[in-house]
Amino acid sequence: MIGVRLTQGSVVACAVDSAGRVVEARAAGRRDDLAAPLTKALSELATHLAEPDSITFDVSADLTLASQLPVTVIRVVPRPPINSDHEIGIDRDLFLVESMHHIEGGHTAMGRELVPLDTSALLSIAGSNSDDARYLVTSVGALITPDHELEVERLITDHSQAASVEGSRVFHSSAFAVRERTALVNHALLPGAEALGTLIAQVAERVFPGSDLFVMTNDGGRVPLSRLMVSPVHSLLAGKATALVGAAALSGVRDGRLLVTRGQESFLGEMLGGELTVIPYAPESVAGRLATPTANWRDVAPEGVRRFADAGRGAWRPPTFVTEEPQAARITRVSDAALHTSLDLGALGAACATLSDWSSQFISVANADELAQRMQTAEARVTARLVTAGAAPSQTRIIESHIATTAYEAPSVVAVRVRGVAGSYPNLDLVEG
Amino acid sequence: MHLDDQDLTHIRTGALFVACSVDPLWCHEQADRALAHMTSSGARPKLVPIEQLPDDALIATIGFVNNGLPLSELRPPGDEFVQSVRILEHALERRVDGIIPLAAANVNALVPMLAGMQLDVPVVDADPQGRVFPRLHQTVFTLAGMRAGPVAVTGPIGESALLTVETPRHAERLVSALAGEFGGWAATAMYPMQASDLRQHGLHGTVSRLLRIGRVLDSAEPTEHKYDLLRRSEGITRIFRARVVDIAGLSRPSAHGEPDRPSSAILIEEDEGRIIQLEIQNELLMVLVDGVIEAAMPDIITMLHPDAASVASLEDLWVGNVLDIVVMAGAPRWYEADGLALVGPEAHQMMPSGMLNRGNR
Repeated sequence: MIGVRLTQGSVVACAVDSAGRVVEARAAGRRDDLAAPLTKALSELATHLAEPDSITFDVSADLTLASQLPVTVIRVVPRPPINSDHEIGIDRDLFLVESMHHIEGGHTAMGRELVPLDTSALLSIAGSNSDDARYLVTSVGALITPDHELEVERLITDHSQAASVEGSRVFHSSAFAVRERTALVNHALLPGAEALGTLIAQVAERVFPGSDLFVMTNDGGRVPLSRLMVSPVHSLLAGKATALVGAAALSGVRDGRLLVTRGQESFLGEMLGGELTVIPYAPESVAGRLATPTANWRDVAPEGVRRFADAGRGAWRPPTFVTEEPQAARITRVSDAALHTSLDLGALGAACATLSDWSSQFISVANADELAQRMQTAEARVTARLVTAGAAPSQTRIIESHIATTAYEAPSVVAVRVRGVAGSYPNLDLVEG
Repeated sequence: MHLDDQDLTHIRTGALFVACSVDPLWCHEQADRALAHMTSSGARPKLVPIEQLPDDALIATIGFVNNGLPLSELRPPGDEFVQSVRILEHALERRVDGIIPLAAANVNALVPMLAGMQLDVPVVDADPQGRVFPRLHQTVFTLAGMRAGPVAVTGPIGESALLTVETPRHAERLVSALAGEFGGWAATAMYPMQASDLRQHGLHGTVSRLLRIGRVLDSAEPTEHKYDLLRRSEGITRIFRARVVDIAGLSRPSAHGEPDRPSSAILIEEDEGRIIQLEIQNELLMVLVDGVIEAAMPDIITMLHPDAASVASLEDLWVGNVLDIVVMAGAPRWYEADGLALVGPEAHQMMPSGMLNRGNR
């Protein structure tokens, strides 16, 4: 297994072989020429080990928003806001919104049409836009009943030469604004992600032609690299999660908290049953809350680190401290609960990460039998995707299969969340310095 | 007093604290709409004590009743409460002189801020719940035998109705059904009453309390200092710092007529390792510590993030999260026999009141 962390021209690659031995290679280059340092780092690892099964990349530091990519925003709502005071705001510094339109339509939680879709208004918009326009569509109730969102996509595609039409329903949130914002961020990341993914694939193919390629996701797992070109937003915040995975692999912590210090930043995460704990949304980081499962890390200020270190005085259970220090030995155990390492935790984490997949849905069910059947279907879908991504069926585990009620909504509507992983972190063979 | 942007932000924080909402976006977006209106119109919400209004002033209670798509999905177009209040005024053949929130908590605490500016009427510093209960008849007005109707309702696509209903309990059933039929919510104007009746039966100072709480929580003070301030000023009785270890959806049979189904969360206390159980149905209903009830409705049970005492929501009940579970008493009126019957644990079909062993009062 190889893990690679890209940081704007610099590359750290880390190989972990089947015996748990760790080899690291670093290369620096220009910010606009990633191919050279990536080739150099991977080629150096190639001199130490046979072709790995997998290479996983943490690209979060190299994902950038294409703020000048114009987009036409279409909101399918039963009744438009009376004035701009009541619209969802869009950060115009981050996104180039060419125009924004409210089209009548939408569905209730039970799948009933609130009002018919105003197709004539939609066709008028599509007709007046340029041929290469890009559209982003969000429809009320689309998480349960996507009919209007799909119909908008079909009509625009059929009646214009649109460059793209994307529906925001692929992002799981019961909030219209969060889905739309996540889709906007994803849209703005796509051009860079496509270029990055292509470059990575080309370089890796030259050095290790038989390896499967993966990308780290915000939950601390990995998915096939092809997903980066479709939903880069799920990799945008993977950096700290990946470092926490590296810290867990290094320290052997499978249940408990980890406090990672890397340069000027410190952050805290938690392992439970051999995996990072995850929350269903990204914290307020890029243009507000995003609908992407994200490792439950939080930044810790220097005084907070000192408080955690003073375990005897505080009421908190002390975390295990893992500090990345370039000048340290590869691994130095400072105390029972503190390690220093010269290894790059991000690259190590990418090498050790498990395959990950999710199924998040809002569903309307009539009875307990139907609910059980829908849960089984969701679990089977997650397992199938993990196997498709390269896992042996025996390696897959459903580590979370959860029904959440939806307060103040219809009792028949529930949120289903299934999280599956494949594999486990390797035991590393490192001699302490 | 006229409220400024900061005041509104603090009220939003206080409203989230008192309610421990399912989704903070409901509150944030309602506050954003009010702030945008303040910016575009130059208007400011006016918050007044009931004493500033004459006895015969007409007061209406306004708020969202939810049943279906949430407010963050099916967003209000902006004129729904103006429409409902105008329908109510037409039925009563006189103008409304002041408004109060259906609940001085969560999104409904912020509804009158925007509607007051749109209608050019003051917001009276009072409400009928002193927190939020899931159903609109769970008010001190019901305890006082007051009428809920006529009730004016407006839905997300502009449909509206006037319900000539008398009893609050019946109004609850009709409005909840309409909210579901509308698609998710009904913007209601109801409990029309004279200022003298509100003075006698309402819960007073409940909106300004949110402002007070918000000022503390939004400050840069350390968490423990904030907690000390809230203990002194708002009567917080318990704080448990605990880590979420399990969540169970559909954890017990649903109470008839309630939106949503019950769920539970299990946490482990950080200090002493005690097991903390939260019972949830739309709101935080009950806290048990090692199996013993520590707090239950009408106690206000809420959650904060330990780092900076920022308000947490039910969305934060994910395995691994460390939260401070905070308990404070509800309005004293709720602890009388008829109050407990209306809003206590037995009203949520959790257990008969005789089983309660609450040691926090």
